[in-house]
Amino acid sequence: MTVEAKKRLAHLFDTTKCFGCGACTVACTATNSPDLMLYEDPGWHSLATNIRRVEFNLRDRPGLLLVQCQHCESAPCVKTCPFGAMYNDAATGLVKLDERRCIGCSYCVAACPYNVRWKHPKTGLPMKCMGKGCEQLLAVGQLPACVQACPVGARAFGDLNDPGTEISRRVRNGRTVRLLEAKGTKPNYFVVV
Amino acid sequence: MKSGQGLELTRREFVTAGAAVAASAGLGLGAGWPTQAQVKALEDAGYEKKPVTCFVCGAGCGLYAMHPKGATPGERNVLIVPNHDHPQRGYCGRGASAMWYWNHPLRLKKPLKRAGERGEGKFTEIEWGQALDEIAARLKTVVEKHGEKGVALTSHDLTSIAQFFGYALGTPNIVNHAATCQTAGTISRRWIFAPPYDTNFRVDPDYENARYVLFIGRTLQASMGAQSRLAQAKSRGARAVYVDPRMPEAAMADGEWVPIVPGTDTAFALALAQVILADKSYDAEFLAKYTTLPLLITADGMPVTQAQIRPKGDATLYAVWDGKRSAMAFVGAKRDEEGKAIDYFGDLDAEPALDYTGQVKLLDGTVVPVSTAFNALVARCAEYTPAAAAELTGVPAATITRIAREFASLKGVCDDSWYNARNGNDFDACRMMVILNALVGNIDKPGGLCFTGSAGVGSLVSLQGKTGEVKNALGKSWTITETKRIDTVTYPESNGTFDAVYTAMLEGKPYPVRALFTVGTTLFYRDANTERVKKALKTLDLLVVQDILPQEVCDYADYVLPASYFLERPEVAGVKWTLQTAIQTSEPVLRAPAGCQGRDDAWMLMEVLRRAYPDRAERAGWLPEYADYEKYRSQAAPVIEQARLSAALKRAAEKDPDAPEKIRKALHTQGYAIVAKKKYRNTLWTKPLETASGRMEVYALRGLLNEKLRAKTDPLPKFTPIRAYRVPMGPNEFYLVSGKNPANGSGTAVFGWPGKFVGDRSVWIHPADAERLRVADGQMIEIEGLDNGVKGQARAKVTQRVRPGVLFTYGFSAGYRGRLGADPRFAFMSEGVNTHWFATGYAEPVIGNMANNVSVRVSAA
Amino acid sequence: MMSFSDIQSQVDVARWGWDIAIFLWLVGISGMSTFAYYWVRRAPLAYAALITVLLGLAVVFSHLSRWWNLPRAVFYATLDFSFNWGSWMMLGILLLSIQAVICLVLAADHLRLGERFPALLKWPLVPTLLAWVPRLARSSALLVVFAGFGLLVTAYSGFLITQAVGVPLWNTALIPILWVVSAGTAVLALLEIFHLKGWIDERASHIVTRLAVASDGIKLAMLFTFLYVGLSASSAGARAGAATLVYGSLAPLLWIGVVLLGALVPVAVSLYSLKFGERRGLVFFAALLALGGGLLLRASVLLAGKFDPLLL
Repeated sequence: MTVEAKKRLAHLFDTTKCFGCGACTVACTATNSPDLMLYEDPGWHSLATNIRRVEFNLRDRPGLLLVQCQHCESAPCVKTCPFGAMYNDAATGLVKLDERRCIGCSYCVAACPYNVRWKHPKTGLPMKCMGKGCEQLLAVGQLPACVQACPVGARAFGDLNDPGTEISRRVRNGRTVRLLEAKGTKPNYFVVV
Repeated sequence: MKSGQGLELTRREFVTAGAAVAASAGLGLGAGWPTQAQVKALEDAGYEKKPVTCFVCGAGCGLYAMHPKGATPGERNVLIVPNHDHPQRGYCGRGASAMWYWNHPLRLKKPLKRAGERGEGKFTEIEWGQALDEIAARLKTVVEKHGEKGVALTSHDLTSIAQFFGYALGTPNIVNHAATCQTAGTISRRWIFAPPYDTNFRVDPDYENARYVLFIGRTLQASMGAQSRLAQAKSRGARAVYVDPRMPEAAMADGEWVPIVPGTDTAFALALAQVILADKSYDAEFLAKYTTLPLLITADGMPVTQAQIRPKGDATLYAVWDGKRSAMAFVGAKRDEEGKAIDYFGDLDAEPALDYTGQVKLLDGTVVPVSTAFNALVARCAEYTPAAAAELTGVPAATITRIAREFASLKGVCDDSWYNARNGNDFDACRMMVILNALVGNIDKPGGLCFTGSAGVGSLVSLQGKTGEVKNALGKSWTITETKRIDTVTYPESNGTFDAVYTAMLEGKPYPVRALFTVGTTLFYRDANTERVKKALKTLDLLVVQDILPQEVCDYADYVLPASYFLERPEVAGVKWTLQTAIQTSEPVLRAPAGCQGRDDAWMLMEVLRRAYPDRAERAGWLPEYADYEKYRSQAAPVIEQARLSAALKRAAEKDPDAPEKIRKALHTQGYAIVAKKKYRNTLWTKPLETASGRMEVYALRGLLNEKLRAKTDPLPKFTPIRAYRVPMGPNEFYLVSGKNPANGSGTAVFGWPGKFVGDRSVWIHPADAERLRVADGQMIEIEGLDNGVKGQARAKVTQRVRPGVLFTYGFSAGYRGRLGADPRFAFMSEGVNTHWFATGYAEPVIGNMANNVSVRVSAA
Repeated sequence: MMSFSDIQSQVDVARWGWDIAIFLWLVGISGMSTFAYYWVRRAPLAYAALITVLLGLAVVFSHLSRWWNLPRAVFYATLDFSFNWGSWMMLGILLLSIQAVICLVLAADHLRLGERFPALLKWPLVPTLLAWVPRLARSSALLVVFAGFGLLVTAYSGFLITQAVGVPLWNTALIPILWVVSAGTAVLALLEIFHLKGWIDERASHIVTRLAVASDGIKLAMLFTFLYVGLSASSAGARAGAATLVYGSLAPLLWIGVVLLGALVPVAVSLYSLKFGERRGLVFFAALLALGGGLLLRASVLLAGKFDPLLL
């Protein structure tokens, strides 16, 4: 089920620029979950952050892959949510959560092929990118915290429907892949390799 | 107000405030690095923005602290973000974690007095008054018995504060962390460029315009400003090469990693030079005009001066062979009454030959053979063919040749080092790193190794070594008698070998040191040979530790004094790692958290002084009313910062009378002010350096012209095998290399909760070695120092990011053994090993550069 | 920090562990009970169907990390009719609600509430409702529908996890069918227990025993098929999950719990009973094992669920 959106907001992550400083990962926690500063997520054994850090070895070249919600156009979490709490935002295409309708069944957590959701220990919400903090940043015309944090421009974010944006340019000109495309999720997270 | 969800405005307030902006601003605002406009949007939405200079490591990158207007700033609502347009913008995982250290569960809150044995970590809380009185009394006792010089101070990045107190007291012994950090690089720059271009940030590659950057041992895990500019260059096609026993994080970002045997960097660099010299791809004109390579030297390596050739000749003019006139010429620098070089001097239109061998007749009639220093360099490099170097370094000859040719043809830049993993033979490696740039003439050019400017921000305190005159930022001056820093007795060329102070503690040589103040520095992560450190600290009559977090050294202290955190105090400083000459400001954002009595280090020290020696405090401008901390904060601290800023403003006003106003405004609105743009081909090209010759001393005269150093030093770099530790031989013996990472790896960052996840306390091992030792990824391994048998345990990480035969573990990260900071939540800090446990404490003679790499034996646990 | 080869278990993140296993088990029993009710129209079976569906609902409700938000969720979903009928979770809520009503009717038929509590008849609508009970509960046609519905409920408990596409091990049609056969076996075991208690007659028991053997046989065949397909699946997460079951950390649970105790022992006892006659204690014990085997099967499959690694 694809959703037509006026904007098509997407993330870009460049493995050829990332050097693993962790600024984005920590900034995400500081911006979106400052109530969980000293929390350790038992699932990922990680900070209360929306970004997962995966080391990989591509043709004997070690590298880093950072993953977060892919804001899929055909999102399994949207398909599986019983009360429609998960939805693609009509204006931006971002996958969002309406807290009022969430009963904490974790169906979306199990349904996400990217394993980028984690349960908030107090609210029981299935957390993911974008958190409240970044939504507020977007609302005032700012880029999400992880993109702002990166000192080397390894991240981009913007409207793919607008060919003039930086992300459109980088997707056009760079060698990008999307993750687990065969699952049919139509993710909006482009990885430069 | 809904609590605990990031930026704390209610949705309605936010939407109302932000709607207008959002409508016009839109998203995806532009170039990859967001601009000030975006921060402004946040301000329009009700946020206050304060510029801060990050102090989680020594880089000092530019950040903003944002928090909602009218609300009390705290963990839940202060957001630390990069200051994107800052000439040295942040940030990394360390800076991003800045709010994690402020109200850290383990943050030192009250003055502590030792209640058990040194090392037990038992303390009782006492009041500031009592602490300072007792320390002052004990200080007096030490001074009475051993003199002021029996009191030492040490710091990492607060050395000037330690000096502010030390010089007021009358001790010269403020010896910092440099030896296991940047001594090798600093002294190499001192020998080649002379002060002020010995300081690591006064010489820096022009990353932004670089075409090809060679990093030998440097991993660029700081500063983020440098990483940012390098990334920009790379997006335009620049290449980065990392020569290192382990693959640094930076190499994952499209960098070439060249694995090298530890301690052989000099051989590698000499081989690059050999190829460039053999190919004749060096910049002959540059070398002839601006370096000491054309200088004529005699068989003993000494340069020939005009005084030796002509009666009433100038001993500071050096002989060269003028190829144009086929005659001898003399070159040097003209100096003023104070000895400062003001202009090039001598036969300025000469065309010195690089390759000349001949004879000169001295005044007494003797004829001596001479050759150019260039020929000496060629001879020195000759044995380091790529094939020979390949044997030593493990880098294939073809790779060495290729890199040398790429470097020469692209006019690459070799980073001149900051903190590198050290093997005790690094002074010459660092010299070669600088010399490579000279060979291709890439000094102070776009994309080359450049000199940075100083904005003239006044220092807190300065000491004139010859006269003993001290001046400080409170506008006072006085004289002290003891000016020779104790480590320079053993290591005359060092900029800080604290190991000499341990010797003074343990052996009383050259004289006893009985009192030590540590100011924001973690002795156990930075000083080699941990057992020796512990023994030494136990001998002290007085040990005072000032810090924000319970570093391991606290356990040994008589008094632990809680310090203020950078977000709580103002500071003005020059921006360090940028080619633009700039000033930055850091404004206080927060008060100390509830229950925390952390205070400025300067205040604590000066209050001790005032109680011990009121007259000395007075002569330093420290008034009795500053005993009231709030008075100090509101009166003395701003005065000091303003005085330091005024020095810079005065200098700027000389060129533009409106500059001070513009600078103040810029500092307040954007946190930085660019005082001067980088002018290339300036220093060295248009005016001489402070070296003996005025030139860039690829062939160094500094050692030669000093009788005490002549026999012990070499004007040219040479490869010396490792002496700092036993070289591993057996199948289970390894080099254990130490390094830093950009997410963690600083004394403060060790304690950060994020460090549990973005830090790494494992020991890296190559898959071939792991297989041979039957070690699986994630398995615990036993590590034993080859030199001292000290044991430790760590989790193995099997990875190709390290050479076979080499292990790697991050320094300033693992193996915390402190008792004061022992907390089950932070037990992760104790995982892994600290390489200094296994270190011998070897220091390079004369230079005082020490090793932080070691050698170990490994077995599956 | 995870490495590329770290294949993460869903139970660490989504926490669909033993409580969900219990839910699936109870709901499966309820569904197959109403299925079996077409043939064995006895009170104990009706009560079992009702108790298990209610318990199941209670268990799954307690699993919700935001159970207290259910009324608000229903309210907002009703407001703009955003119930997601494409979600097996939502369908499940509907199906289980209907199943609960069906079981209530079937149970009420046996409870004869009107006779036992005449006071109830004074309440409005109660007499009418109670009058309908026997009409619904004893109509052969409707009982067919109820049986089919019970089958659907059991199948739902399988489809629920197949739709969680993050866990490729579950994304197979084998799961709903395996769940039906396994729940069927569990209900047969239940009937065996009822027979021992004297609540159903000998003849029915004989059929039950034979059916149980066949059912266990089919169940084991399906289980091995599921594992075999999993081991050679195209996705790494499925392979890893199957491997964990077959020879990894979950192997004891699978081989000893599900296969040996949950299937082979009950089959052996059934064959023995058929040949040599019933030994009450043994049969009872074996029936409990068979009943428990259904729970252990579901727990195994849930705990073995793993996410796919991310591939570049």
